[in-house]
Amino acid sequence: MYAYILRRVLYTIPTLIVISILIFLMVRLLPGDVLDVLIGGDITTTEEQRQAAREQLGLVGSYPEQYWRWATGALRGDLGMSLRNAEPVRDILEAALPITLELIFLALLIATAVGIPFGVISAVRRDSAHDYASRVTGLVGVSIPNFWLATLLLLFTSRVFGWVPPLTYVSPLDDPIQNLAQFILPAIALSVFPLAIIMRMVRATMLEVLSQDYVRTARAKGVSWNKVVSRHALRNALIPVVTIIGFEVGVLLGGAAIIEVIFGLPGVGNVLLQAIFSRDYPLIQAATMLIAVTFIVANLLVDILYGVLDPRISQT
Amino acid sequence: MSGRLAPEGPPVAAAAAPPRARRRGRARLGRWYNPIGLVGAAIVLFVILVAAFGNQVWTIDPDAQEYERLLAPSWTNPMGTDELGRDILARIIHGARVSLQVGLISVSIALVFGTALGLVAGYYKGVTDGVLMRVVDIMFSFPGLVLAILIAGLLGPSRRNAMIAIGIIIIPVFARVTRGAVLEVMGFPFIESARALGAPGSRIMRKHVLPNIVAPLTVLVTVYLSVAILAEAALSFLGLGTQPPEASWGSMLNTSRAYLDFAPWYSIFPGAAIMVVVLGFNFLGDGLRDVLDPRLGPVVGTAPPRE
Amino acid sequence: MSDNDKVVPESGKGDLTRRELLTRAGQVGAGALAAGALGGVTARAAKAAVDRTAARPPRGGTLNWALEQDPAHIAPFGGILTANHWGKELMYDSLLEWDPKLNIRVALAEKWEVVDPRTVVFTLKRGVRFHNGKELTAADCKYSFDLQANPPPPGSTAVLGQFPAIDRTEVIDKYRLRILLKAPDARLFGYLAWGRYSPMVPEGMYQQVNPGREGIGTGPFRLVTYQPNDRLEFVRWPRFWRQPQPYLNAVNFKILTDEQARIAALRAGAIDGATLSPDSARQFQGNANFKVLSNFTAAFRELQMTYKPGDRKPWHDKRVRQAVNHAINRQEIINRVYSGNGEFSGHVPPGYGPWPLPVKELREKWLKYDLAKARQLMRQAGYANGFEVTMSTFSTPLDFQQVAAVIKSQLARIGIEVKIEAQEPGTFAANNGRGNFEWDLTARGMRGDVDGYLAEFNPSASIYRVWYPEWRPPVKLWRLIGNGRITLDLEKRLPMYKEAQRILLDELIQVPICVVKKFQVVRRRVNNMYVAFSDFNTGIRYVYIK
Repeated sequence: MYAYILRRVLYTIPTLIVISILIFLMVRLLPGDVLDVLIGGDITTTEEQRQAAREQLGLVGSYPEQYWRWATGALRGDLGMSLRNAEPVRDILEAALPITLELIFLALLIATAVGIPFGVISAVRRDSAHDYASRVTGLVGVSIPNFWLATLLLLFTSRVFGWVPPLTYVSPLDDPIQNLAQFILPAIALSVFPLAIIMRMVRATMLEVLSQDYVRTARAKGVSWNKVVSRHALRNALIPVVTIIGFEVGVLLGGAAIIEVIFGLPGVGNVLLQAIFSRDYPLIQAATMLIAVTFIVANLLVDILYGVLDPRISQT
Repeated sequence: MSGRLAPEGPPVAAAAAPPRARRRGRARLGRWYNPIGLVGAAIVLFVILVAAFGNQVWTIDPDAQEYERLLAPSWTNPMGTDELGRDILARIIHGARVSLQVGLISVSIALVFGTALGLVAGYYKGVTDGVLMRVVDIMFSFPGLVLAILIAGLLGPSRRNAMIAIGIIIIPVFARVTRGAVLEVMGFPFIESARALGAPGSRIMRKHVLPNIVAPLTVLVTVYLSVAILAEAALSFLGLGTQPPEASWGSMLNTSRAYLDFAPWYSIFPGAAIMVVVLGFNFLGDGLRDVLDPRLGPVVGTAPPRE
Repeated sequence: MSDNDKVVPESGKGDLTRRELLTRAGQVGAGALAAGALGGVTARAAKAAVDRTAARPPRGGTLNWALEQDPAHIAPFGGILTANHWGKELMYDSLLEWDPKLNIRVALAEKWEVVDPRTVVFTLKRGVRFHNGKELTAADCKYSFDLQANPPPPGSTAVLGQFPAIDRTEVIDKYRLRILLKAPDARLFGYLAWGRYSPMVPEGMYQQVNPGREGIGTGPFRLVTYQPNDRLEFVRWPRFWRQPQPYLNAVNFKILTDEQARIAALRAGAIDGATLSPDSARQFQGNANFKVLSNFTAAFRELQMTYKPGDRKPWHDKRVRQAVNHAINRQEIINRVYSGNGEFSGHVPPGYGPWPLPVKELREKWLKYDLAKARQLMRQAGYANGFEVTMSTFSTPLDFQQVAAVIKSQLARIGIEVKIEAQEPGTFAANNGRGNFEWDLTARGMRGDVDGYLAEFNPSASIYRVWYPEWRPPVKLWRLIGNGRITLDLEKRLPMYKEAQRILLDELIQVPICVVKKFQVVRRRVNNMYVAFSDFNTGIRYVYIK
């Protein structure tokens, strides 16, 4: 078991190094640099002024040099300065991360809290009206783009209740109620997609487990149906749910951008989107790397959790 | 994402007992009796017909700016008009062609490359597997947002490049699912015997492994067709999708958001079109899964990459 | 429209006080004269902004306003984005300022004197207090000008293209400052009035605070906090130099980049005002709880073409460019894309003081929609069958794509097959700045001086060599633009720029399309707000709540 975990952890190191190189290169392959974007329509700038501005921003030196500076700095916790506002990138991401994490947490909470029970009921009452209803609802959920749903929710509450989520961000530690009021709509909009998938996954896994021999044996032995469902089937059904959660944390870290923009939440996706539009290299690099690391760590945890949920895995 | 399953994941499938339902009609259609699958097939067929012949039935030019802007649905414009006074129905019909094309081509890219990756990794195991799967991990962990802009920037914005981008973004899913399925198939006795007989790896993969993983791939294809259609909506926001003035459902939905407050029909029709197609493909996928491989369980629901 | 619109000047009819002012300032010893001219201006502005309400506006209240873009940073110097200035305009002042009609008037300066064409002496108002209580002195101004000449991070030296030819500044005494120019430069006054690059800050400010997130100014509001991507909070500066302003106790900016979010927040009362698209603003028209304000801004759309060595492109022939111009039906673009809220524009946008050509002349002569003439020109140029061309534009905001789509269908009428490429803004900016395009549908913004609109047609501009190195307009154009910058006398300067514009409208290497009205919707309780031509939210300085 420990050997398995250790092996999985060691695997991630070369992966991370390669990712960091790729991110570094890809960011530089993006057409244009921060100056192009900044100068934009200011056509009176001379080439000398541009060059001076470039040096001022540290956009000089060969790629290996720049990479080395970045990578070694990152290991020391120094992610460089934003080209756009000269703030330390680390501070920017530290401010943005809790917001996005809370959003993801709430969205996945809603997704699992609704998705699991409905998936279970669907499986237990397979082909019932309820089963079809929840499957169709789930598919509708998968086919609505979340940015569209978010807009609809916002316009709906403002028209019908004359209410929109509070505009200024408050930490859940300072004012949990206002914080929740601010996060609930975006969390719902984000939750619909994972919810639909969790529901389908739970249903499928449950169906499969419920038909297994040992379940029938248990039933034959007189174990109650409820107990079979809760003890055997559900435990197995949780495995794909864990998978999805691990995956969605990585995807939503950057993928919640449009939702964050719509609700004016200063999260990681919002920051990344703006950084891309303004070609703020250090910030794009760091945000992208943060997303990649989160993705890999989340999936590492998922793999380890598999080992816990199903001991056979760690032995292979 | 389901790629996580097998062999490290839970057992992929077990015989799902044919349930109580499906009694009627079963005799006639045999294993093809599957209400959800049939509904799905009908929807998909309908959309294909619309894409192929719709413009001969509804002959208004989708790019002509000849009506008042943002008209509500009427007899002349059954779905209303858009912000430049173009007929929304004509654009939905034209968009069917575009959106289906985006779905089919980008999924084909992912299918070809992802399957090849997964097949090789799963078949050879060991170091090959370790390296290939790390490559897949890396592809997975790279935010689609950055990747899409990069591709648009390097190759130029066009529908073709949008399809390439979407294809690349979903390759890892196909690779992982294929690998999982291959690993499972590899445990079957007939692979052992083929190997014992000295058949070359490429032949075993082609003749014995591939046919046995068709079922999960079919399901994946149908699910990801819809994911690709939706992804195009996000890409047109980043300037990588269909170029104006051409209509795609994704770009229509994206544009219509600006008018959602006072011209909701503009949003509802492309939204509904996407929904119908997604439903169709998913139903078809569910049905195919049951029909092709009743053993196959949880591979269906896979989380797509998003921008 | 609300009564507030009365504050807003009718575009294109701006009176010429600005011109009088510059003329007189251009004469030796004009300090007193300038003050006299300003007296008139100030009275008029006051009439518009304050006296219009019989009683003095009530003090108090908090204004919640939505910004459509994060300022990124609020450093006083070297901020290039319009949004940079949105974040800082309430806290800083410059020596001069524009009134709502773009007339130049004094702000921190009490008067100025043009000693000779290369020397200007500014006398400061006395008793102006920075937000830290310190009094404004000439030493602070010198410090500020030195930083303007070389903006430290987070500002960028890239703004120096807008910096007038100031050689150095000298402190004469506590309240007097001498500005020495390398060459006569008519851009100086507009540069100071624009305020965007020329705020006055206390000496040593960059050592005392983090200038990207904090600041010490003389403006009507003092910054309390700036949370990037989220909000800015300001409170009233009680010792503001123009009493009794400001009337508000506090101003909060919330950054809401999504228009639908602004609409929802406005309707729910979470914000008092925001900028909206014409279509969305119309939904608030006639609603008793809201006022819809509008005005033209400097931002005009234009089609620009490259003219580079190598392949001969059809539009290298002037007649083809003219054909394109006459085949574009601007009224249709204004109606289709901006629901009628636009106006024809030349190379200097209408409303920009006395400088633009009359709209009537543009509509009836230069920019006239004339398909027959366009076809004839195409025939004469040998392109009766048209040609293909790629036109790039921004993928967002969406109106660029929409204008592109309309132009595409219009040019199809003369056989030109336009392929549209909508590029993500960063990519577009890079391609545009490097001349990596055939045609670009783009926009121009506000400039401190008219020179800013025409400088790119001067072959000494570096961008000229990027965009159209092979283009050879009449040499007269170059001479007019080059001399215009160093001509201080407005009576002489004005006709030079008018003539340059007429030459450009014949050459059409850039085809101006139209200016667009900007709409801001405010709640009924918000008074005195106006939509500034400069695209800033200057009106907030004068707002009171009742």
